Amino acid sequence: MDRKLRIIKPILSHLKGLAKVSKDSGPTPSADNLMGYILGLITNRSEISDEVIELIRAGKLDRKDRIKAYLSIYLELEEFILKNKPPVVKDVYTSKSLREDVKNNVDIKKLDLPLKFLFVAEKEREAYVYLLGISRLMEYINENSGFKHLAIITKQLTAGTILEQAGITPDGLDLEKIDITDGNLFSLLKKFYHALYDEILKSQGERATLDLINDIYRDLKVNYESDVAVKFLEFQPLGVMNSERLKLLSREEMEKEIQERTIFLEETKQQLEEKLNIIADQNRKLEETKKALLNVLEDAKHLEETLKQEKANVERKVIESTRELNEEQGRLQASINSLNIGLIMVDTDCNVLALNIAAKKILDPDKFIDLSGALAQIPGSIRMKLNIEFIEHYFEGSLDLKSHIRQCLDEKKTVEVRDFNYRNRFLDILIHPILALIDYKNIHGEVVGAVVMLEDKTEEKLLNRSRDEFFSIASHELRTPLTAIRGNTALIKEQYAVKFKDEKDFWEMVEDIHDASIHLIDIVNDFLDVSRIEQGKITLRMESFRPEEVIRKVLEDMRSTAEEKHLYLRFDADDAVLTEVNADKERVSQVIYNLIGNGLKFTEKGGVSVMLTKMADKVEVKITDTGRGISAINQNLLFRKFQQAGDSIYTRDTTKGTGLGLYISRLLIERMGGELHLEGSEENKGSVFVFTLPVSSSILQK
Amino acid sequence: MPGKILIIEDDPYVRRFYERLFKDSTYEVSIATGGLDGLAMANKLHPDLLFVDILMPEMDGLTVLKRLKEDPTTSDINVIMLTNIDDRTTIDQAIKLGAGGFFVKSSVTPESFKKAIDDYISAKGV
Repeated sequence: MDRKLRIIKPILSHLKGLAKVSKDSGPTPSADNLMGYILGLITNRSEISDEVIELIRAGKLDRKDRIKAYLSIYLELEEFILKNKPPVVKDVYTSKSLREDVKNNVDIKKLDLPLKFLFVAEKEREAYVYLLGISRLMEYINENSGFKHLAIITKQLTAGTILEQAGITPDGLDLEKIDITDGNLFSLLKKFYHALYDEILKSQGERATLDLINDIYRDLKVNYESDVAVKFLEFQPLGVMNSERLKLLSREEMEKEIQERTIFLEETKQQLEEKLNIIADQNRKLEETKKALLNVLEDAKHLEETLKQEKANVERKVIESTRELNEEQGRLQASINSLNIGLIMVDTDCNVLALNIAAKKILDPDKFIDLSGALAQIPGSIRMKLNIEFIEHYFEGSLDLKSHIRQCLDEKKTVEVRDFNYRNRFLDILIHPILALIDYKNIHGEVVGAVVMLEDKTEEKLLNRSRDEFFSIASHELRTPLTAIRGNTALIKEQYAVKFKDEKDFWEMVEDIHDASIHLIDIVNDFLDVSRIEQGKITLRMESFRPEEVIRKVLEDMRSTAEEKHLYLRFDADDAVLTEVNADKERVSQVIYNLIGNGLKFTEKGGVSVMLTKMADKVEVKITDTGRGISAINQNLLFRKFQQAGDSIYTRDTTKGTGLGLYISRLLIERMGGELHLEGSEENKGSVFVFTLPVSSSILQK
Repeated sequence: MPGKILIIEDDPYVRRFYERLFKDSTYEVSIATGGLDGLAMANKLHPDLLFVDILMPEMDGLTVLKRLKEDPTTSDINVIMLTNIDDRTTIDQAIKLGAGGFFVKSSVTPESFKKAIDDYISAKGV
């Protein structure tokens, strides 16, 4: 016993002392305890003297190496113990019972991991294999990059998992606070291990990393049961330690693996084939699409060709139409230029479409309008968009041409401005609407423009005026000397009747002169009347008067003439005495004079009677004479100018009036709304003339 | 009854006829040869009745009428147109200007002329 104690004690104290002295990462009391205990189980120490020396040496090593050495020594000692029996060793042990015994006597909780591993419970083993790997890697990182770096990395990689709570030591993770039997733990640990592996791979490169793994693997193979190294291989990253893995695989496993791989390859091959088919399909579809596109392109080309042709056709047609249009324009322009009436054609916006030379002459007789010059002054005008306002300019505000045109367009009717005075000329301005034809049946539709016609009436007016003047002046000129002739002959008759009462021839001559002058005056009056009536220059002054009065006056005037010829003059007004007519009093008088005068002229016996009767809306004046009547032939020509008829125009009786009386009378009566005709005539019996006049609409009518 | 009559007539033949016509008349008849002459005489004589032709050289009858009517001293004179122009327009113009009547010379007989004068003078005088 002493000898034992003598050997153990110094070793133990040495060990204890070593614990204080070792230079790296502190003492390993638990490990020391373990070694001390296992040693204690061996009674015969001389058998293990090598191991003891190694133990003493190990105590001087760094922590890591020390643990490594302890592990190796422990296993040797264990092997020794198992091989021997008392009294060499304390007891007979199995591997299991020995480790149980150690567990009971040594606090293995604080043992460094490599040693601890030997004693962990079955259900904890798997986790501890991971831990072994992890600790080696963490150790490695610590050595190469420092503890700070290791801590940061570990914190990062374990964030969000239960490993977060694990303690971080230079050797590895301290899982004391974590439930090691948690099923999820293994995948986490594997993941963590892989992450650490990647970290080392990144910083040290492939070579160094693989060397490290190999080291770890060897150590595990050496120190622990075979399943530990196998397990280690299992959770290596893909492709790492493949050769080792393969070596470990049993034949069956290999075959299984090959089968699995073959199946995998088969499946992959199938998938690829399927993919190929799909691609082939798609290819085919692409081909078809390509063909279809080519067809479409062909069609498109055809279409383009056709379109080109069509375009060419249309262009040709347009050119033709334009030419036709130009020709039409040309014809139109030529036509309107040939007119001697000014013509301006406008559209519905009063833009000038055509303007002929005559219009230019009228508007600007000195210069003719130079449209191109005019256009040059209108800013921004490109083509002949000339508005009627420009033409209006010429009238200097005296004619609102535009509003007249507007009126014409709106009412679709002709608008007239007669006798418009422009630069000392008289214009008749007519504005006609232009209506589009709905169809060839000449049905007119909407207004598309207007035509303004300017007619210079000055010459015509002057002509008329001068004709008028001519007649007025001519008749005046004729009348003046006639006044002298007539007047003087009348005076002669008056003043020298006594003196030359015996000069029968003389008186006859004077009488002839007098009568001829009167005749001539009558002719002049009639000529003037006819000319005026035919020109429509007679102005009638219509008024309401009693024809009875007028007739009575005429009869009064004709009394002496009648008495000279011993003819009677009768008048019967019957119920029409107070009837009034609406007519020109003087002209009615003239007509009555003419008719009664004719009656007296062509009657030798008897007389003239006048009858005035009232009818519904007119009065009737009937003049009956008992004269020589009018032959049938002459009746036809009665109301013509120079009414007497014969086979030749030279056959006339110039003594009986001018031959214009009835012509004038009829025209006058007709102008006054009445009617004059020969009711009847019989040769040698007499004639009846009748004329009517409209009754006046005065309410005082009886 | 006495009365002053002025006649303005440019045609010499007609003028001489008037002179003969009124030679033995009770009226005081003066005859002027033209418009200017006539106006002067009208101012001087202030006739009761004035006859004036229309178509005259230098000054036409309507202008004479107008002048007479515009001049307050002569505006009251009764002016009768005695002319051979007989169109309506002229007649209306004369009436508008203030003429008291209108005679067509060649249509008027000496008797009716004298009678008309009598009527005019008596109408005025009384």
